[in-house]
Amino acid sequence: MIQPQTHLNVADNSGARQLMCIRIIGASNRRYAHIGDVIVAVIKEAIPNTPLKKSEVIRAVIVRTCKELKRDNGMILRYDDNAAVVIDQEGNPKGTRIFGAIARELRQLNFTKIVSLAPEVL
Amino acid sequence: MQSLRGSIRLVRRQCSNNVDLKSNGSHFATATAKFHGSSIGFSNARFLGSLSKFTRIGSQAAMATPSNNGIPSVSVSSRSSRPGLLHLAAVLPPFTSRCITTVENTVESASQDSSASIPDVTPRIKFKRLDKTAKHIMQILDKEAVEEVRENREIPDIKPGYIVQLKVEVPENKRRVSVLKGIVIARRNAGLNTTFRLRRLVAGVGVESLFPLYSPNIKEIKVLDKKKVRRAKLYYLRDKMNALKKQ
Repeated sequence: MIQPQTHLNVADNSGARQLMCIRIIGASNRRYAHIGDVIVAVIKEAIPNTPLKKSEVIRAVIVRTCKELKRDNGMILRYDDNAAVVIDQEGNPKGTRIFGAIARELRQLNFTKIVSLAPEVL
Repeated sequence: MQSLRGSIRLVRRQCSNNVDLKSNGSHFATATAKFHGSSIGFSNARFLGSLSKFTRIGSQAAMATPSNNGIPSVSVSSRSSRPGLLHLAAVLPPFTSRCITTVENTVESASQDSSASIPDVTPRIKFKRLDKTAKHIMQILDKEAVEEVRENREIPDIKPGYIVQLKVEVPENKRRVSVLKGIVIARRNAGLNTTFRLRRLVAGVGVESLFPLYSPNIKEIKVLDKKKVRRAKLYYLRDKMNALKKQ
């Protein structure tokens, strides 16, 4: 349940450390974003000497939420933090490595590159 | 006369009390004898006490036969009492005898009922009255479904605090993926929908998963360790075992 003003961790090595959500891409007036939704975010904290700088507006896809993700077989998945992966306009990740576990639902949403880079797919 | 009437009423009341008391309790034989002796003796004592001015036959004669009905003793005593009260004495035993028989009848009937109901093994599904069965038909169906699953698979007892290892089948890949290992932090009992929460650390991130206990996707559950916990829901571990929390 990510909404504007939410701080998110970054789960890749693109250079950003923390993002703040500004807007949810999709239907207008959409309240919350869940795993697999694309958001517009501003970089609040960045690693020095990387292409991404602080207060840059970028797009990201949410990969982990503290809010539970329900599956059809009755399974429920809940992470300990909120995290996103920085992507470009097409949907390809800007970084080269992904950290942390990724949910399997991203594969259906055509984020196959992220899923293939993930160390663990839940 | 009033005292005699009072004694008759007392006998009636005592007999009715005895009838009420006999409906429960297990020692019928001994209790009835005691009650009989006490009530009849008491009534006889009162009856005789009212006549004590006239006769000197003490209550010893009545008390001496506590187990029997007091008819012979009363008649014996009444023979020596004043003839004017003989008919009343004759009246009194029929009351007591009636009381005795009714008490005994209820005693016998009650014992018969209890003995009949005990050896009747109650089946799991009672079809005594269909409308009563319909009240908990969902419960019966639930239990049947749980039994069916339990027969096919061996599901160990899972309680909060256990460290378990699951083998979960993923329907998309059709492989025996995910040997999940974690600590059970909660268990929710709801018949077939009994679920349990598993907490584990995956690639540096804490992940909690909720599984239905009787899900066909869970191929195997193995209990590795049991931790002593004093709680049914271990949600405090979210703060304690959090790798990503800022210190």
